[in-house]
Amino acid sequence: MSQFRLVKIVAAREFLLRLRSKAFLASLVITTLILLAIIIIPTLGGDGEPGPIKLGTLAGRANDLQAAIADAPSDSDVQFTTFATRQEAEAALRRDDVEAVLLGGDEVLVGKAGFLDQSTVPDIVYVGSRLLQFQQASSNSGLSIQELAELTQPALNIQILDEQDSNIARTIIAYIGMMVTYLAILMYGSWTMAGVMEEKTTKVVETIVSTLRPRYLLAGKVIGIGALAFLQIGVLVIAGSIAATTTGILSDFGGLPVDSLVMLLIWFIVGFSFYNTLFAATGALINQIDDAQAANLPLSLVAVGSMMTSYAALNDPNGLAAIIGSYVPLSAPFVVPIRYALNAIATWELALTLTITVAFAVLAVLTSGRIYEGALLRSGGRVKLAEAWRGDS
Amino acid sequence: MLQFDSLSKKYGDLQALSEICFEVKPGRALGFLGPNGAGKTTTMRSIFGLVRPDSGTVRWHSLQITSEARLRFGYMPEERGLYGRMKVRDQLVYFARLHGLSAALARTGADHWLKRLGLSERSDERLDKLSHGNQQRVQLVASILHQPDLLVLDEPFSGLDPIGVDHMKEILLEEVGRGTAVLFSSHQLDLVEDICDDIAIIQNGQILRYGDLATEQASAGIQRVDVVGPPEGTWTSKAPGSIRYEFNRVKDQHRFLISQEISAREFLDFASAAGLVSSFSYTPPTLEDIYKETLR
Repeated sequence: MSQFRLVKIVAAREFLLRLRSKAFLASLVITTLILLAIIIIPTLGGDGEPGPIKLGTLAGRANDLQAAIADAPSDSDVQFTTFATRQEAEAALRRDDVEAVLLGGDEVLVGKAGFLDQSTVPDIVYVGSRLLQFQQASSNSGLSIQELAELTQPALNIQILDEQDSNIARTIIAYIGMMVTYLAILMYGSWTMAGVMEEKTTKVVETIVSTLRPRYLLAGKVIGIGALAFLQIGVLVIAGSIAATTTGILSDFGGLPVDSLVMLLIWFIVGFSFYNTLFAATGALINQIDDAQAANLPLSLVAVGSMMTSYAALNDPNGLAAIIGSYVPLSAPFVVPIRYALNAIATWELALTLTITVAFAVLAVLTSGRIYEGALLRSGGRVKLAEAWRGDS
Repeated sequence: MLQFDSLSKKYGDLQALSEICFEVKPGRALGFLGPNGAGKTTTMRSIFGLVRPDSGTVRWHSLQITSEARLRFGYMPEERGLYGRMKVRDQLVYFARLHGLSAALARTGADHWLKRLGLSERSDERLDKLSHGNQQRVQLVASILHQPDLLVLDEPFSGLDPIGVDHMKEILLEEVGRGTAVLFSSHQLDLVEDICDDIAIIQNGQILRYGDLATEQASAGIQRVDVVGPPEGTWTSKAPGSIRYEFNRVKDQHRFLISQEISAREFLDFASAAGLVSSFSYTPPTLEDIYKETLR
């Protein structure tokens, strides 16, 4: 019987037990819904069959603007209602029966002021008003409306030096990836910590480590919970891809950036492995559930700080914070995928930081394993790091 | 065979174990006795690598104990340790598989034991929904489902009701009958006397007495004498070879612990001189007698 087979048994338990838990199911459903909302909601506005734009006019007021609006090119139908009096028109406006009322001349009445400098006047009214201006200018000057329209456009031919930099899809993937990495590291980290604490406080661990060396128990735990994290991310990626393809949102922005996704995945595995074992070691140092919050804090703060650094990298991928963040192993898994997605990292830089971070991850896993092993079997108060390291049980 | 060879362990200034030497043999049960804090749990934990001795070794069949060897061991720690939120049957299957059993064998074994303990209907319930006694039964099964060659139980009888005690006793004796080497600690000396072939008594980290129970009883150099008849008087305080004396008011019985040098005939003559003796017994010492004499 190899220890490897036992690791598999432990990993399977960690995976299946949580897979069946309500907490996992809830987190899976909620994160998937949030992602779908992020993708689908912005596309709703331009989709489907929008209703006609309803405008009001007053009886007996000659209205050039109305005629211009009716002539203006538009995707939507415009429906006019004529009101006998201004009071009737105002009442209809309050009931939202119409969006605006043309009072005659250039006067337009709307229900309320817009937010900041946004106007609540329908776009079609602006277009109509513009058209009216062109028509009047055309009859005054003898130029055609077409010629006038050309005159008012800037005559510039703009070329973009680095087409890739403006790839919105890559930014979106990087941003969502960063958030998911952050949430997964914190959430699954706290699950691992809680699991380690449960085993320690209930002394289950004494029964288990009689046949399985603590570091293998740790490995099984991290692998099982890691598989769960992967499952969740897999569901997110598949649901997100289907939604993005169906709504066509990514094709608008240049298609699915596969290399960027792969990079995210690599950094996720590296980051998850060492963060998760560090959380496990933290859990092993604790003897009472009451201490968990305090013990959890340093590592959580590091994750929050790393996330903020990667946010800074999103805004300025070549800034000092982004560059330093790429070489600090704790923040690299958050920062590097962002810089990669934004094409702001050279290949040699990528190779260097990946080497540094993987080396750190190996060291962190070994160190955590030793601390975990040393601390696990000690009880009575919080275990000091040095004692755990020496492992004097 | 499990062998402790000069095992020593110090925690700071406290000498927890001092040159521990004894053996646990296949097909025999060894009762591990001693006051609280004497070093029983520390000794047992050393078998499982949970305590690293300063010097000395623990061996199984003359070999250093590895994780591999421990697959064939069963352990029930004093502070019971199972997953409270895991289902009873899943839990048993899990621990059996951690001891190397295939999933199918583990499931068959779990069902067999749950049925035997009358817990079949509760096999899909969370462990923490069971009563304390039932949880302890499940814990016992978790330590023996894989049919270990060595079974180590720390205070297996504590907290059990009389029926639970009988179950536990029955199962332990079965394990011994199967050829398992059984080591368990207990304060219930009458139970130990019923089950154990061998005993080891520890105090302050030192083994004070170790050996076959019958031999220890014969070689302790003491005898128990119970007398009913003569009233309490000067004869009781001046009895020949008396080491300890107490009067049992309920049974109206004088209980003596005396030196083996005094024969039954001698003592009976002495007692008869004090009055008519209606009941007289001259027997080897009980385990409790030996225990108290050893720790005196």
